[in-house]
Amino acid sequence: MVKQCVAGEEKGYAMLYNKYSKRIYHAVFRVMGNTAESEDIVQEAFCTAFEQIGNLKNQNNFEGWVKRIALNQAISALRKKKMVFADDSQLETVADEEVDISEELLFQCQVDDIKKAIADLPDGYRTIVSLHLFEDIGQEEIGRMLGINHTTVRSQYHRAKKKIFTALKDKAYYGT
Amino acid sequence: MERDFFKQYIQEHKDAFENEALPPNMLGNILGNLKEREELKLQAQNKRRLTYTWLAVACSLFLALGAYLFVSQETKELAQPNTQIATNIPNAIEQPIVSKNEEAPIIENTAVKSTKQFAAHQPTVNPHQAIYDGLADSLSVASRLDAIIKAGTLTSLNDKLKTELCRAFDNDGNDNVRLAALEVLSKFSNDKYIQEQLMAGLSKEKDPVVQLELIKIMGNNSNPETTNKLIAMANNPFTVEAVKEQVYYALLTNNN
Repeated sequence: MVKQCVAGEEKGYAMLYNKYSKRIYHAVFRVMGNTAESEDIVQEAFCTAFEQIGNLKNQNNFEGWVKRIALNQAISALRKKKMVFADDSQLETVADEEVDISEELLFQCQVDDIKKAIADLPDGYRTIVSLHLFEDIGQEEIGRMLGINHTTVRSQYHRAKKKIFTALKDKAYYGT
Repeated sequence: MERDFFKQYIQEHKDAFENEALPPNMLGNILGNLKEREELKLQAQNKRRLTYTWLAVACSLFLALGAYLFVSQETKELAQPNTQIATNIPNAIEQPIVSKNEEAPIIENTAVKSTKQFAAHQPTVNPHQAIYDGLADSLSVASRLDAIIKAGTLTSLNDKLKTELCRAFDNDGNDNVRLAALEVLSKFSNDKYIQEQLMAGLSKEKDPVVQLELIKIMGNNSNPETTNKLIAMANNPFTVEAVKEQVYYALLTNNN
């Protein structure tokens, strides 16, 4: 497929898009929280990737490459919207024990509830949670991507997780 | 490292989190964008190429103009008498004050003497020597042509010059030299020797252009030998058609 794209064949573009676009779109959507902007970013990321596909060294890692392009564009878009990834490392001592959730509670939850809880997070928290939980990016790497200290990433991640659990617990108690 | 149940849960159920459909026609937009960018790239490349071409043309013009100005400036400087050459004019030397009685005879005597000396030492120059030298220059067609042109400006030809010109007309390897010699000889075609030589040329000359010129010159000649030679030319199977036509015309218009 990548070779077809390098040769400029539309079929190759379509096959690569069909295979990876869904996962990349959702990764961007989780960061942006906005359908229209996510769509634009994914389109732009694929265009950039297809244009520069000749420079791709590891052809087996096309998905990771495009996803990284798309996520970087998403973060740039958030920055343009004046969103600041706060470097509040002085507040890092969030007690892990405060974040108390059992596996049982998780299994009782619906996927949609968790999605909603994540979507309701403030932009900064949602970005960190999405990158760490879904894209499995380490906290240091997230710190580099967002231009903040990794300890800040860690503390914000715990706070975000606490907010999610609180929302989930409320959901479980009230059964709404 | 602590165990993150939440992360584990998310990773295990990741597909369930990504079950929403994609916005429609994203692929179409991507392919359209790619084509647009491709076209823009091509346009930009063409523009750049065009710009470089114009730049090259402008540079060439600039250099040519610069060279022209430089050369014309040099020429002007050489043409002006009061530039570099003027600086070499020797300073006027004050002449010693001489009394009136002494002055006149001294100057006159020297002037007369020097003139006489100059005339006495002048070698006797043959005015036609340059023409002979030019005709003898077998290496340069230009020199021979130049010599023939000079001969053409003369009002009369001496015997040696006639011989040399006739030799050039007969034997020169260059058609243009032969033609030029013929043109000069035609001016003196009343001369008996020249006439004989030209008549002989009617049978000797093989070049059609020279033949045509020769027939034009000799066509009006009433000499029966000329007529015979013209008839022979007309009957010669190797004579070019155009030459034959010129021969017929000459024979028809010849009053004799």
